Amino acid sequence: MEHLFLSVVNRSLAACLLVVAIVVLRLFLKRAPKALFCVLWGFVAVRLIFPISWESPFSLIPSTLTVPDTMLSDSGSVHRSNDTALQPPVADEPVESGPGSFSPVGTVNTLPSFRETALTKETELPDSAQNGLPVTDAASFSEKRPLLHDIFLVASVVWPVGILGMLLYAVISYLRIYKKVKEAVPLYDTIWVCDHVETPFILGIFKPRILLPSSIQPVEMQHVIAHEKAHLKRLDHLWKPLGYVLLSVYWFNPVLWIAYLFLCKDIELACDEQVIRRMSPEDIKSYSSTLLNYSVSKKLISVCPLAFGEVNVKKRIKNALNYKKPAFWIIAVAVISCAVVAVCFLSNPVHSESGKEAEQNGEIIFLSMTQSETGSDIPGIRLSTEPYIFFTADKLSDMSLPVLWINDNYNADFLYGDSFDILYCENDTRNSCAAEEFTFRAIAHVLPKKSEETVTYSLNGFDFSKEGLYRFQTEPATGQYLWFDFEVAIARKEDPASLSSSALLSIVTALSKDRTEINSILSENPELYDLLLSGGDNTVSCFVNELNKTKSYGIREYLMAHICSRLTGIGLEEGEYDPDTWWATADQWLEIYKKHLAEQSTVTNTSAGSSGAPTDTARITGTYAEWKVSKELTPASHPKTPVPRSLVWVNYNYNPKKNPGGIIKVELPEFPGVTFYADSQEIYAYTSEGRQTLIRGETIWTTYLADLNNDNCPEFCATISSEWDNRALEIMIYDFANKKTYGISDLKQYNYALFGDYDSMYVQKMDRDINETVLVGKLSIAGSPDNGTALELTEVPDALYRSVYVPGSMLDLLGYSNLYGDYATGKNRWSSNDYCTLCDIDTPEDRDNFLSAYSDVRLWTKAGVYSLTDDFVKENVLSPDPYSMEGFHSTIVLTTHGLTESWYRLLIPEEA
Amino acid sequence: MGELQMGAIESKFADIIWQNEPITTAELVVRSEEAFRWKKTTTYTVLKRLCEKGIFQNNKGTVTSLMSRQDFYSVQSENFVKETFDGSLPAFFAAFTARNELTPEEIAELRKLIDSYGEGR
Repeated sequence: MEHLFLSVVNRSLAACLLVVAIVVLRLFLKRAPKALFCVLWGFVAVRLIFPISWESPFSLIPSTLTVPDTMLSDSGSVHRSNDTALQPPVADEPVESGPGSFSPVGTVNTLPSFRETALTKETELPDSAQNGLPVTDAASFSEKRPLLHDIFLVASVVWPVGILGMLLYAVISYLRIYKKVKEAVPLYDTIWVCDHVETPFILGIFKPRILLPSSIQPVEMQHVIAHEKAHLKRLDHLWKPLGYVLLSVYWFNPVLWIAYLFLCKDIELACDEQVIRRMSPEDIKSYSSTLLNYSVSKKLISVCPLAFGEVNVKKRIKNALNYKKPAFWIIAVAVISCAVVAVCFLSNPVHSESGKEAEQNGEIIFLSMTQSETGSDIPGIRLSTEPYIFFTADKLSDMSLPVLWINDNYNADFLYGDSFDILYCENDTRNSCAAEEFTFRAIAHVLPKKSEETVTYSLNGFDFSKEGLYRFQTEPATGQYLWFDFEVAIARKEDPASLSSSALLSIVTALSKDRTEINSILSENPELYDLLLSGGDNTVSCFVNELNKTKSYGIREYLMAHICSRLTGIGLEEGEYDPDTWWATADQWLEIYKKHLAEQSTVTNTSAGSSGAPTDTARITGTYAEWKVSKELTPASHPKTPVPRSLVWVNYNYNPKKNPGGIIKVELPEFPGVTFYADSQEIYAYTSEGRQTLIRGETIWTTYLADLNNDNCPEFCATISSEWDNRALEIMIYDFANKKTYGISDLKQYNYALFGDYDSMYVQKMDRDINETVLVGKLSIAGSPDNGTALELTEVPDALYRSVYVPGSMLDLLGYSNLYGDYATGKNRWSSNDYCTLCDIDTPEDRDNFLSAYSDVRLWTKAGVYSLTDDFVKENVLSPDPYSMEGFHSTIVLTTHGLTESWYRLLIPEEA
Repeated sequence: MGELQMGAIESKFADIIWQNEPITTAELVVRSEEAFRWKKTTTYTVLKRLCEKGIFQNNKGTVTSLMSRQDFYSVQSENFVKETFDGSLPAFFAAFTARNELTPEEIAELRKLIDSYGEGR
């Protein structure tokens, strides 16, 4: 009730001005037709009834003509902060990881919801003393409740009583008259004759009747009837009651009583004019004497009957006798003035816009706000807002901010106004970014105990040209503030890539909040998705940096990886978000993108970063599933690392779990429209014709993609355990281009295993009984499709044992007898530890000798290709045997500890 | 007695009673409806009022008059002359004849009235 009352008061204040203007106008336009003024009174009614939202620069209503907030609150202010703009209460508060802070919250991401945040934040309400603000506890605050506040409370109770009184009076007087009118006798039309009435009048709203006193004289009758009929024609029998109803609502405003009186007067005068217009002077005289006869001495305001003689008869007679048809120009002037008055007083003042905030280098299309901190000087009252708000606006003046006011502990109903300010935080100061000094229309709100209300504040008039931290602040009571901080990030339409990092991050954080599925996020927010994708490299580097910093991987991080993969074509298997697999493989993907980014800047980047990777070696990037990516890489600077012609696709031992999405699959550019799938027992493909099995095995260990026949299409080469005998390793090759299968197997004695070394496909033939490699051969397919093709194994002499393949935690060794140890003794064979011994050393010089002897050797890792002498490699990869003790020689061990989850291949050049 | 005034319509109503008395209320209602378009309740209300003024009486559904039409209007004229001409009939007469010519017949009638009045004493 209170705030309704206050809005009524505010509206009537605005209407007052209009009334005053009309009265003044009336004085100057005495000869103007009075009907015009009735229209003006209509405007007043409009102003009183409808909340006007039409703004014009011509509005003469001062913005400050409203009940100011401070009137509602503490008029005798007790405390006043010295410099409220500079109070930094934020710094001292512990920052909870809640909405607005970009640190991720956990694997299975549930950022606290709006409500939860609001509730938890309650415990964080600053104890004012802590923050150096004046202390007000709840008790003392209530004692100082201001006088005006109480006045308003009382007034808002009295007001409806007044309305009832007015309406009751109207009803009673109507009934009184109606009783008399029951005895009326119809004359003709809607005209009745009645005893006991003193003056002709009209009664009734829906079926109005003209009532004449039975003592009326014939000569009078025609005048009276003409007059009353004019009333009916002008619908006065509707306007006057309407005016009275409005008066009942606004009964407290004396100016409006004056307006009502004028309305009644003008109605009568207007009717007089209407009637007189066509009368001869004699008739006018007789009309006047009729008026005289019926002049009513009572001055009571009447509601319903439009009594013939009720209004200022003397004036009317004078008017009638002096009536002259107004000249055209008078009418014109009158109409124009009315129009002017209407525009001036019916419209609201335009909220000022300053030039600088509206258009800033083009249209702003995006603004995001993320609330981080909130505070309140009033115990029990606080603010909250949506954690993330996006606006797409052409102009900042279109934006509005919904703020939730919460009264959960205040000891009474809380009254507050609409005024607020937005401050921009820079270094440690906060300054208002309002475009101009101006007061808002103070619509008052009442917030009852234990309730909430959302108020929408227009951001029109504030300068948001700078991104960063802003503060929303209101002062419901002098010296007592409620505020919250928020981050603003802006993007411009012409330059979507201008999205700053904070904007990008806030978008993904908001999109992924409380979500568990990627696909639904993307389909529900196409605009934002496009926005993210439009950023290009900007977006990728921002996300990668964030992923780098982040401590855990949740759906938010997955979303970022997804976007990166979309933008770069690298890496992420498209699929639904699966927390477990994402967690397991996230680091790996991160490495890929970091490499990708480094790639981007390789050309001009001289300092290769802290990793210490040598600059003369090319970077090799790509996952083991992206044939096409590998193909694109042509590290021309390093002749020894050509584009791989054999590449591991699936390694059962390395990744026994499925990739994110649950499926291992790949699409190859050489075979458009086909998707290849792999699981531990089958390699198959989906084509337009359907599903097709390529290779089957009891267990498929490692699958390579290798071009064996030089047709520039990869063949599928797999090491499998035979279905017939698990211990036997076989090789199966499927040439998809020619739809042919090849295989190498010897179930009796030999195991065959594949090994790819980046430019060739090798086969390792091992004697099962003595457990040693007896042959290493290079694999190829010879022949032509016409004549017949066959698998060829070209033996590679010992000296060409080329690489030690260390995939992650598993060692896949292939002959290193040239380097160290004796293979035959079984010394450094399969090892499930993350190391392989390269050489034994007894002295530090031995190590240096080893390194210089093998200076050509390259360590090929996911992070790059390094020389063994590289510091990074020396520190992280090569290390003396940790178990060496005095008396035992140490060994140089190649360990994967330094580069987690990476895999290595040691490329050893051929000995000439 | 109070104010013995009747409005124009009430007078017509009273005439209906005087002309048709004794008259049942039912018939009165019908006639009122014809003449004035009054509802039954309205008729009863007006009747009650006139009864309270002592002009008519309603005995179990039959309406009769307590004073004749003549009597009633006599009282009216008396009051009128009293109020307007301070009770002076000659003054009234003077005023009346100032604007209204009396016809020879009317003069003769008047003379007869005055004479019989004087003699009646």
